Amino acid sequence: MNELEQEYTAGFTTNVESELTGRGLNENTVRLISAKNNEPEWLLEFRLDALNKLSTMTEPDWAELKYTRPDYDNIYYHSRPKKQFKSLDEVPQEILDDFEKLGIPLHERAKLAGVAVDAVFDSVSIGTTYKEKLAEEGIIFCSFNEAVQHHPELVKQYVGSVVPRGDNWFACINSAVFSDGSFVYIPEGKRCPLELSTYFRINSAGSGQFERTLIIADKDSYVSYLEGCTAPQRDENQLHAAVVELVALDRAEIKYSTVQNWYPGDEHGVGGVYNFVTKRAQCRGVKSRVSWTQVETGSAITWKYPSCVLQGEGSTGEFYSVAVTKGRQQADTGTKMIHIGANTRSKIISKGISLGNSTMTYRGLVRMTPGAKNARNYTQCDSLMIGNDSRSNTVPYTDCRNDTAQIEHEATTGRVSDEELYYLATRGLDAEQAASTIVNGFCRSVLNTLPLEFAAEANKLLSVTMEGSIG
Amino acid sequence: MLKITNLSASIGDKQILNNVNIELAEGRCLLVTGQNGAGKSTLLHAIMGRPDIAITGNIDLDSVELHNMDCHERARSGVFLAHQAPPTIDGVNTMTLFKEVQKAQNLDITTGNLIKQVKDLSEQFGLPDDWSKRAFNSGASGGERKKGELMQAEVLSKKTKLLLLDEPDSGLEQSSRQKIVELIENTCNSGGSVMLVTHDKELQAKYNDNKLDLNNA
Repeated sequence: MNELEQEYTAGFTTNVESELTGRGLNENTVRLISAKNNEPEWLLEFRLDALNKLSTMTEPDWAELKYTRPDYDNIYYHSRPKKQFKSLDEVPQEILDDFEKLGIPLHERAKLAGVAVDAVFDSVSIGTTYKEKLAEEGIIFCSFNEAVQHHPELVKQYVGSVVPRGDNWFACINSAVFSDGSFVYIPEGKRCPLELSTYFRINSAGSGQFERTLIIADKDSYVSYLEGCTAPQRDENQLHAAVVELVALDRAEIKYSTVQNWYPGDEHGVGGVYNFVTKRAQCRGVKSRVSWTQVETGSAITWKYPSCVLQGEGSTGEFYSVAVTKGRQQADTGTKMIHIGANTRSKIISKGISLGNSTMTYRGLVRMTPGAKNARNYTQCDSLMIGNDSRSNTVPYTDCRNDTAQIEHEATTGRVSDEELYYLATRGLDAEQAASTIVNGFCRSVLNTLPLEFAAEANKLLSVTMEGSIG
Repeated sequence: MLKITNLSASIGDKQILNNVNIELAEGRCLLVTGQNGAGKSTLLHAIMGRPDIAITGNIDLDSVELHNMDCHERARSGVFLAHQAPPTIDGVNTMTLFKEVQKAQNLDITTGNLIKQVKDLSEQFGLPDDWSKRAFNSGASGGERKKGELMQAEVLSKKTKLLLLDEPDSGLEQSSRQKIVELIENTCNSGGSVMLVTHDKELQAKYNDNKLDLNNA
């Protein structure tokens, strides 16, 4: 085994029989998924319309990414354990054991204190903890499919309202064949007492994951949501094309954190997850606030730009990102801040680290529309290269259409210096400990924004990522 | 006992040390002198194991072959170098660095006591209150950097068998120079050895009885 494989501790496969259906991106697949989920007619129409739009679109090729295009007609778009279950009590023990191995205990006696978890295994949610406790507060936290059944009016009102089905190639695929995901609704004036979390796991070979997440924070509410993900180690590339939509109404706040650890492939670039994700938040209400924090260490290919549309007057969007690539990984990631309302604010702090033969690109857009009077943006974009063969690109794009807006941009690019590594070696730190200390320092301003539960995990993940990569 | 046999050192194409031999017993301090460019710092860094210094010859500390070890292993074996010009490490705050050293060297001290020791030492050295919370050496003057080196030497003193001091006095106010003498005496009294490079006349006079002059080495 090479070093990368040794380090990827989540690369095991759960030994459970799966039912793979819906091969190929076509109407039969769309109808089959919709029927399996027992969806209402309007949602089937939503899917079919997306499929129809897809036929007029092409896969984007502007990103700094080189990869073999997925064979969309050979992917199974729906996979679930053969044995059906209706509650967490009926979930096969092998699945529960493996989630526990990933640090996500789901059964009653061991479930995480202070964190409610929705666990998504391939195309289905296998269970959500603390659901009843949250329901007492009027908070809805359940799988997307469950929301479609029990809260269709909310789903219908908001799904596709932030990321339209024809938004881009990958979002359009998702809109046609999305499987399960999470749904959150925080009622007016409510501060969610628990961290909400979804853990995504791809298990079956030959399949992909196309989850859909929708979070609505009503007026004066607050929620912190965490997302984690892993996949088995395989020689094939697996497709993950998710859509996440966030809606923040007046004075509401959503804090969305991601620790992304999909299988990155081996040192020769064989295997790994294609992570093509569309994440967007709409700050619709006055003084609403959304912050995206992401720690990205996994995936062979990452194409991801969590964005904020700042509509409400005085609304705020924030993006904090640490992205690490190594081996043959390629990441093209960044954010978009679209200022529409007056006095809107945005802040972008991006830290990119590239090691080995990897390529890291930051791509960002800050747009000040004519109505965004007195809007402000601050962007800090730093990249750190370790070794002589890694690449780092920064592509910031600013588009200012009113003369009262202010945009600030700071950027640095550097390599870890031999002087720093030697100094730390003289204090007894080996090459990996030294690089890990420097990288942690480089990322500190972003890691500090993570909820406590995730910060420790992110630190550990960064240390593991450094192992075997230096020297 | 430090025993250096036929040590030659070069950086790139330039040979800097040629056939240096040293025997330094426990409890002794060796003053290393020589003109600028004679190789005083290079000697200390060669003992420490700086990767860009190529050496031939042997460096043995208590019969441990340092010359076969990586730099971090030499540090863990009890070699401590107080750098002449320690770098700034952005983002890494000073206390974090101390904790990383504690972890890497498996120091016999609790984190709570380490924090207290660092706080006490920074008070003794007259460093600002927030010194340990700042990025390592960020915005620090030359003198503050030297104090940081001496503080690390103090924290690691129980493990130190060979203390290498590369111009520890330059930029330091007179009152702090006493700390250097205390450090040398404490190291020697607890059975360690010291190699001292300095241009300070008082320090030179104090340790003049055991001297290596690299001009004539």
